[in-house]
Amino acid sequence: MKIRTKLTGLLAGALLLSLAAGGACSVHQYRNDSVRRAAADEREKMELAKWALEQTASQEELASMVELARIAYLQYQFEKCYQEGYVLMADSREIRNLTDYQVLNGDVLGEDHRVQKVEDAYLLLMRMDLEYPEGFWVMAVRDITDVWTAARGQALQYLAVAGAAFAAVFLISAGILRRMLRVLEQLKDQAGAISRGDFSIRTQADTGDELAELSDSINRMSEQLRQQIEDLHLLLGAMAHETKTPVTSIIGYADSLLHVSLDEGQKERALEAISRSAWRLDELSGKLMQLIGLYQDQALSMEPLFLPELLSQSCERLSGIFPQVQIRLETDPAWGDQGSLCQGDRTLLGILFDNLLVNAAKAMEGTGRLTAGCRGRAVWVEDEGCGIPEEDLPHVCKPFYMADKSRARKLGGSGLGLAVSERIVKAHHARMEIQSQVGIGTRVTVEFPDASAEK
Amino acid sequence: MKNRILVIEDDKDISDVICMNLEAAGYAACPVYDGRDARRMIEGAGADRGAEREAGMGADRPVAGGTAKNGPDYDLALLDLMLPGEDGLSLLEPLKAQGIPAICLTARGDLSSKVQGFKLGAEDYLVKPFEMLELLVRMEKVLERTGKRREEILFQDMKVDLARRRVWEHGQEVHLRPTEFQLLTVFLQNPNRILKRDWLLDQVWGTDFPGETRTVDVHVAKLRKKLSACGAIVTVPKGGYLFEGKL
Repeated sequence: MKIRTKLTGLLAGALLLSLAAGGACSVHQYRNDSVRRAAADEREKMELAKWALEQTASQEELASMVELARIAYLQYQFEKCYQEGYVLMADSREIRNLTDYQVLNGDVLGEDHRVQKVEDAYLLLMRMDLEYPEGFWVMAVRDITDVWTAARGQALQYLAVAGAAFAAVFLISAGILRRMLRVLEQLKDQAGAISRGDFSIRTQADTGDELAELSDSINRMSEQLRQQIEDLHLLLGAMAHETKTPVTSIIGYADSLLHVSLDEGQKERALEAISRSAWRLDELSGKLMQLIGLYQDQALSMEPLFLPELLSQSCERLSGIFPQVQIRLETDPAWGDQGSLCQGDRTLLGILFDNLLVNAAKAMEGTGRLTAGCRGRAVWVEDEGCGIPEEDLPHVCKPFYMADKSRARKLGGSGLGLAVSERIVKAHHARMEIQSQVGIGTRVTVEFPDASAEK
Repeated sequence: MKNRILVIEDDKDISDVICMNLEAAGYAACPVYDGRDARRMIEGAGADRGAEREAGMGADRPVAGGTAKNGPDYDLALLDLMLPGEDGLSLLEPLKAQGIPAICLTARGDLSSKVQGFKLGAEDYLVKPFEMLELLVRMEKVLERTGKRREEILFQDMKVDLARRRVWEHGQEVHLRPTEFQLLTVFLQNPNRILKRDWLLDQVWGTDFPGETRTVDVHVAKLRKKLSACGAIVTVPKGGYLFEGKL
């Protein structure tokens, strides 16, 4: 069952029930009041008539009469004092009936009034005992059908008003519901589209309520998903492209070695190229593993690390790879051990510093001077290399982005170094800043958060 | 005269392996590693040819299908689509303007890239990684289609006219059956490369031919008997045949 049917049904049911109960109650009350009023009225009349009857003869006078005379006298006087609508009873016997009805069982009538339905008429029945003679009483029979008619009229009137109110409430709430549910319907369509990979659908909810918030956040989610999937596609596409180059090279050289008559020099060159390409693939896959691992936010083993120590280890590794690069290490001793302490993953930070240093060395084509420094929790690497053109700066952290592709290739770059570095920086909640000027050099600064502040 | 091939490929290793294979197969390869340099070379080629054509008209020299050309003119370009300096696709335009057919070599194997390449005038499209032999065969086809294939091959004392399908040795015409001539053509077009028997069978007799690889051996034997230059066809144990020699 749809929400709309459920909610509408529930609302209509509750409304109907309360209106019906209220209506029945008030009509019932009105009828009872009317009956009670009529009864009080009647009782007053009966008291008067009784008083009049009692004036006609005293108890002694009646007692002195013989039975038949007494009854005849009473009948006569009763007719005079009471008008139509009364019955004189003696015990359960009718003495004189001034009504159109016949009393069948007068004994059941108590002190209180009683309403009885005879054919289509509603009769108010009341009993009043006479003071004397003993056993005589008067029953009043009054047609109060008009009370019922009035009550029915009122009920109908009430029904009309309630019906109108119900219709109004029902229509308004159904309208509101429809609007809300239309948003839900749209959201459902949007979710379906998202699961099919279509991110173009946007839900516009102008209801200004929680639904609007929900639709806003779903729109945002859709946009972010689209962005992430696009990034991933780009990454995969770039990765496929990057692997194809060394693979093409390996296949080409191996094929040439197998099928083409080459001289010794050519053979050697082919083998060298195969080895080079294989190393390039290896580096690429290593970097990719790092990147994917970081995408999955693999458990980091955080420990307090002394940044200058890590940096100098990376510098030593670099001078092993690029012996022609002169490295100047600047650390500020004034900060002492505490100032340069940071929570981090030893392996990842090692990779980060290695990447930054290798990038710097490559920017200088393997020869020149670079400065690596650490002050407080800020680590920087500065080179005097080719620099990065301003228009490339926003993209350098994207996977496989190479500002100067042919040069990067020549030096064995995979285009993943900075992407990996950025993920590591993010995983440590640190901040990376790249300043660069073409022809002058590049300075990369990484600032780590306060380790003690986290605790 | 060798066919001159412009190899536009930014990766040094791949460029080297292509050039190595082209030269072994008897082409002259001119590598270029950058989009901008490539454009310069293509447009330079056009300027030279324009001058040449003018001179040709004056000197009443036959300009036959591009088989006899001097200077830095190219018969075919192998074009990598992702280049530094300038996008490979944008080089198709000047190549077309100069009448140089181009085969795109690229890692982009998606259909839209291919369609775009063909629309811009690429003659053929090869997705990396590719086999060198496939590249050579496709090049041969493109050169033949565009009329840039050298029609006359000289080897030792043998002269082969590919267009008229005739062979001379020691100044005397040698009569070959059509399949023999076809086999000889395949050897001459793929020299210095080990050719497998079933590959030869496909190339000469077609893939539908139900024969066995023995057929190839029989025809090679016939070629060797009829032409002394075909002594250059070496049998490679377990491999196939190799036409060894500088063409």
